[in-house]
Amino acid sequence: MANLIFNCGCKFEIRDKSITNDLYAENLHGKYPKVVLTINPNDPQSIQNFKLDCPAVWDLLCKGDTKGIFQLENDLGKTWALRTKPRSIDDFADLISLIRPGCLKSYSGEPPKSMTQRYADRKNGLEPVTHLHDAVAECLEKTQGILIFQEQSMKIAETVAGFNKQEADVLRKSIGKKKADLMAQVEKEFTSKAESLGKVTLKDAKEIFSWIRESQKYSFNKSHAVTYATDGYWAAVLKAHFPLTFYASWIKGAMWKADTDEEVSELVNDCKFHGIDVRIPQLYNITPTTTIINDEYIQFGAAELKGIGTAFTNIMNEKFVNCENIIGKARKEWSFLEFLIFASKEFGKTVTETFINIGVLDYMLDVKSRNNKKYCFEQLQKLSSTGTELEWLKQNYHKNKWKTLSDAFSALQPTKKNGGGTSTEKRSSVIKSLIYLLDNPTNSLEDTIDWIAVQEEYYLGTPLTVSRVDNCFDAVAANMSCKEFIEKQERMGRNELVILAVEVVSSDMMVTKSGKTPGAKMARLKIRDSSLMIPAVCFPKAYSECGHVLQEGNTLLLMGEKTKDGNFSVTKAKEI
Amino acid sequence: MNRNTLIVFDLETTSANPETAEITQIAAVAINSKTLEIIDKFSSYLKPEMDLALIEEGALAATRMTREQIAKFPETSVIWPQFVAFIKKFNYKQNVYSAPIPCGYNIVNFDLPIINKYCKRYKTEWDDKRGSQKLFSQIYKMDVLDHLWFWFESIPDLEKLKLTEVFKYMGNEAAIEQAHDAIVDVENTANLMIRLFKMQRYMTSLRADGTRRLEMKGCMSKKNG
Repeated sequence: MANLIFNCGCKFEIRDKSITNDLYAENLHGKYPKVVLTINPNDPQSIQNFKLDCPAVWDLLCKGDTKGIFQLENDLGKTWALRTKPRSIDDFADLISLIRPGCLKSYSGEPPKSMTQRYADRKNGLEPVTHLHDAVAECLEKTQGILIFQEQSMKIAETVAGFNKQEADVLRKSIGKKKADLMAQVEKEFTSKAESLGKVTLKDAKEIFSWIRESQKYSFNKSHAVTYATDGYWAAVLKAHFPLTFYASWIKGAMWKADTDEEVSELVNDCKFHGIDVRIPQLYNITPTTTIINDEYIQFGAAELKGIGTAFTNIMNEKFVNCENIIGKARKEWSFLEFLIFASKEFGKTVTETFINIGVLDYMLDVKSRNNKKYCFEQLQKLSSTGTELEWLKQNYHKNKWKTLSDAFSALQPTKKNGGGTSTEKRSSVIKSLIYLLDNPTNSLEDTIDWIAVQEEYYLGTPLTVSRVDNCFDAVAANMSCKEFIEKQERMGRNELVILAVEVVSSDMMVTKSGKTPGAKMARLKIRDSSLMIPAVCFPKAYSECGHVLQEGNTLLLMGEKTKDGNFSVTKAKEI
Repeated sequence: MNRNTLIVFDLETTSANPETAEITQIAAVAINSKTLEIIDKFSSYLKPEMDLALIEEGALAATRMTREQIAKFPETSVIWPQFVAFIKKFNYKQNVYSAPIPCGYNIVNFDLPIINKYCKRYKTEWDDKRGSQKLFSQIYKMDVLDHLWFWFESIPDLEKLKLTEVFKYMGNEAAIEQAHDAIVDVENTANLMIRLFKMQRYMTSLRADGTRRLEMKGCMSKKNG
């Protein structure tokens, strides 16, 4: 059995290259190593036997690379992972607890700081670690002197008041269930026992208990936090070592998210950031769901294209085989005319339009542009609804081997009496009109960048191969791409001038509550070009000058600089 | 601001009466409302579904077509869906708010009622609830005739607002020679509209000192009279 050995020291066995137990196995083209992580104490590959100390995993979290990591997926998780830099399961558990609303909104000290910020500052050495009271130092030393977990309150009760485990559990329940009457009873016991034990004075005991009572608002259960952290760790293991499998699985599962388009957009963006190629399938290699091709790139599956459902994907392969038999060729050799005549009706209007618009048929070069293919399909749709005219084309195709749809319609056009395929003079006249349309297109059939971007965004959830800003002549004024801005972060000076040519994906205006200008307007943005989508911010001074152009859908030249958090701060904007 | 595509279109018909007129030629030009660039064009002849003997002589003269030529045009039932597909292509979000804005010369009284009629007849983009077409924006429209009146009403040396007179006044002689071919009319009207837009945008643009050449904000406040 071969092993996969990584630079971080992790080792994975490749047990079997063929997939036998996967629901989608039969529909997959090609095979790739399946990552087997079991829960079995006798299996050395089992999750239980792996150490939770892979440096590659912790590096991922410390960089804020948290998309797809349980509990840290959103911007909050990403930001605080960057700030707190977890490097152990304990750190991870702390982080998960600290990004809950209770901790984020619990302010103390002078100047007031949230618990979360205080933890981050202490961990980074920006503030000394102090304890509520020397008597509780040991209970809180692992969390920078901050009371985060209900279990810590239990430990304090044992240490300071001599509570046994049962009494400490009653205290935990009163915290967890926020029962005021139970809490009052426990307080009485705590202060009385603490006074008797003598480690602290009665006054100190009352003060310590007040902190425990206060922690009702925010403390979390450590056993929960550690479980969540472990789950998150395993997601990060997959992301760090098997990114293709990781992202392919997430893209497949995007349909279950509340906003599928946003999820796909974020996943594809993450793939771009990591240099992972995500591609649109071609008809000859399309699979029902997203898959990995040749261990090299991820390919969208039919089910991930809007408008195509399981009604088609369940019988997709069967339809492919039928059509290949009728045409007498493998799909890779089909011409677009053959697809139109023999397969388009089989697949249905919606599937055919999806395939054309998203580029699944791009390899069929007898009709070059997607809009031209679409135009031809529109004319084919105008054949008689009884299907007799299409049937005539099918029956006569192999004998005549027409090169274009116009040729095929020209043969069809005369009435049956006159050697053609139409049943009446009226239908003959309609087919004549269709030939006119094919030979004299009513409009341009070019695929513009704007059109391609709109189609990809509609069918996939995100532009994949182009960006609308690519169409803007003034985009040449940009001095770097979004991806280059991220890559150059560490080398970049704080005031280095950055000019980006981007499309605004989202723009959230907000009013500042504090800072130099409380009550002023600013905006948080998501901006993208073809290389990457990145967050950006426009602070009040710049917003007052250019906020009006920072609207969703606008293509802009943005001038700005790097913030201390590594985000892009807009100083000027111009529509292009 | 609204960034819907502008579609300048023109219909050549069998009559000057929109209630009885049938279309013999459609031409349209799509304009990117942000960059004011022409981004696509549509042009086709159509054979109207009527007795060709009833086509008004005036209509034939104006369009320089004969009944024999019209008889050879492609069927309306084939071309009309193609025109609809062309317009729908510019409705990026496929809803009533993102539908392209119809523009043209005298479209309110002539061309739009005919569009309405065809949408209802062929059941394409017809809004039953409102009793109107939803192919184009139901909110905005730009009738160049109204805009010409607005821009030129105080200029005494332009007496008539016929397109040919306006082109002559503005120095576009070529436009006059090719009048009444739908695609040429439409391109000329589109260029005229783009010119008016650019003039408006110049007037409201920022100077180097950051002030607007023509400031609309607060211009009706009591302080400003």
